[in-house]
Amino acid sequence: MIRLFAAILLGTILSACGKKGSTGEVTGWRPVYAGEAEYKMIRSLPPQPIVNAGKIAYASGRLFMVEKNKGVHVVQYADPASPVKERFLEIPGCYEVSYKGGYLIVNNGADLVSLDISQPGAVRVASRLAKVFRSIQEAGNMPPDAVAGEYFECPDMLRGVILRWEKAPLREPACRTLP
Amino acid sequence: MRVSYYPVLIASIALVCFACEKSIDAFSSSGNGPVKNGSLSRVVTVGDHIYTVDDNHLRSINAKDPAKLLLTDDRELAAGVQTIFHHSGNLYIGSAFRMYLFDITSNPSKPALLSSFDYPVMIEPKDPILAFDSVIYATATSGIDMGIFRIFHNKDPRNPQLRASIPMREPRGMDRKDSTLYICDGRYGLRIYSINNPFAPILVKTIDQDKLLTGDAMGQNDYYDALIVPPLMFCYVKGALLNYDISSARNPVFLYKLQ
Repeated sequence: MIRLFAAILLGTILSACGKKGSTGEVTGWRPVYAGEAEYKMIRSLPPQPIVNAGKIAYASGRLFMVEKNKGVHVVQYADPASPVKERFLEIPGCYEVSYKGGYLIVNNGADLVSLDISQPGAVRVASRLAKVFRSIQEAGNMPPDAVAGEYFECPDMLRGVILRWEKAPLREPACRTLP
Repeated sequence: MRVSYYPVLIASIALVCFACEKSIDAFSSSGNGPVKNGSLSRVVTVGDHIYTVDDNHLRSINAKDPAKLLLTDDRELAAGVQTIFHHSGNLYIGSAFRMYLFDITSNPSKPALLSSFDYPVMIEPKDPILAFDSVIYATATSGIDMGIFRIFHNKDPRNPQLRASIPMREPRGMDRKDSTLYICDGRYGLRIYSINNPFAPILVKTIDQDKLLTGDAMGQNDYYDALIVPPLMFCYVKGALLNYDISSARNPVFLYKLQ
């Protein structure tokens, strides 16, 4: 009962999920999901600009900062007075970051992965646990260009990582931006 | 039962505290140091274990060998869980409706529920938690000037007591250095409190001069989270990482902005 109540309240109040849409067909935003091979492609790139800063973690002289839905900025603080952006790890659907024994711990879409970052300029997936994050409500999981009160298809992390959003006819969408 | 339980508990707490102290220590660059996560995190690493929360689940993962992650427990919670914080062998989990406290000293592979506290009023679940000594701070915000900063007395983790509910604007992540508390208050800047009495914080000042640095698009300079690694404090806003020197805790000196 409490869970049902919770679900209803959340569905009503949360920014992502407004009340149920019209019963017919409406125009709204539909997520385009990356294929499995595409979203699992993790690679090390030169430093990138910070656009949508996300969560931070500090370990072993480095600050790791999420770039929402895109990856992790690695900042070297060997000399605290002059931090250096070392590289950018491209990790599709990334929102969470931690660290354990030389490995970066991140989410890659719904999966939790440990990344071997011991080799400069390289990154390797050391271990992957599927479906650890099934529901993350973050800005990157909503259509960025939607205006107030627009309908969109609710994101489903189990379907993969959202690449982009496109306008499309939607049948009874359950999500809507705040009016 | 009690006789055998306490030595294990004390030994574990000692280990955990040792790890905490190390994590906020020097700027070493060896690969095996512990990690310090921000208060908005959905993942924490404690010793050989990783704990994650998402909406309505707490999952425990054995990461003794980080190249072989192993799920050891999957527990259902009420919906709306957003953050997880570790302090002294306890996990603090923030959700829209309640706060959960779990013990991980007796069996780190399977956290045991100690208590939960139902909030009288639900606010949108952006709900970071900071715990230290016998104090729990929990913030929540709806994002539209309807935030709250709750203070609990945590003398007994099986029965935390709500001591104060302070209205705030948009409180998000927070961190602490000794008797100074830093709360990121969204578009209203970084709030600095004296917590000489941790149950009665006194606002010392608000830092928002960094808005002047760019002064551009709305939301570009909202403060989201603060993470302290002495003598530095990292704060992030939408498009940048701000670095402060907090050698003088209540007078942070802005150092630089990474973009």
